[in-house]
Amino acid sequence: MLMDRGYGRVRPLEGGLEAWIEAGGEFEQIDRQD
Amino acid sequence: MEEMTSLLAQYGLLLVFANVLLTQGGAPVPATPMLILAGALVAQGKLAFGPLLGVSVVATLLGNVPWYLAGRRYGYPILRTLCRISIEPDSCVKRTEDIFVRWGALSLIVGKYIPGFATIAPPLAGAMKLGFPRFLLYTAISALLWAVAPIFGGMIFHAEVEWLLARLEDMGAGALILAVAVVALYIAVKSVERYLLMRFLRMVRISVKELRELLGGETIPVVLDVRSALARKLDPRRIPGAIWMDIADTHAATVEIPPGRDVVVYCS
Repeated sequence: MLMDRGYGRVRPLEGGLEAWIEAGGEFEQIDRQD
Repeated sequence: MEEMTSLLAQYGLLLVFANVLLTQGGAPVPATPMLILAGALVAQGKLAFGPLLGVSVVATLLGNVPWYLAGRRYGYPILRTLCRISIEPDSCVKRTEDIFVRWGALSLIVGKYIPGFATIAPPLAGAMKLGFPRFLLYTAISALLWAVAPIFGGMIFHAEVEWLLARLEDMGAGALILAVAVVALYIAVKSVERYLLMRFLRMVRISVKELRELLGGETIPVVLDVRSALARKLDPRRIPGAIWMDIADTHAATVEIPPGRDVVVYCS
């Protein structure tokens, strides 16, 4: 879908956000108005 | 045939209860054939309509309430766990979120008719902190509507049901083998589809380690958070610098990506 919008190389993150946080990756809280 | 119908007439309510409880509890067991058969027995005067409907509703509630409570207690991760064991886990979370966003509490009713969603809807309702009385009300209504249709079907077409049972009995063990073969074929096709999809995704996916290395390097990729609004509400965290984009909204402005930059997305 993203490639249909003109993006070039699109790579999904394996395991998503959960895998990132589980691996000790940094994260930030989303602002309410964001 | 006589033995089978007398067994169902004797233990019909118990069998329906067990079948519906298993189905609504998340086991991959269909309940519709049993309800149609029970409906045929109602038409023959061997089962009572009211208790049959009551048993179906109670079994549905008992099967759904633990999932609702698990959703309330554990929140979003329970959905991911349920979707992981589903036969189509890759589209499961996103699809169920979209349905809940669109229908709200009514999705508990609508969801009964969407394959895969019926199991996910109760924990999703729990995770969304839908009130318990409201959950019970909507689940009871959905159970009534869901059970009434096959029961009425069995009542109306009881002659055809009896004919079919007689033919199956004529087939003997062959009928059982045929049923098992159909189920096995369905699971095999889904498994092959999933294997091919996973193989393709493995080729293009980026690992957490690889992303970390890229973020610490010179050519930093653009990270897009393409989770739904509901997913972001349930888990309000993001990878630092990630840009949110609602890919479901076809009119949403596309984020400008400088040429040559990789794009990394996460959708759950």
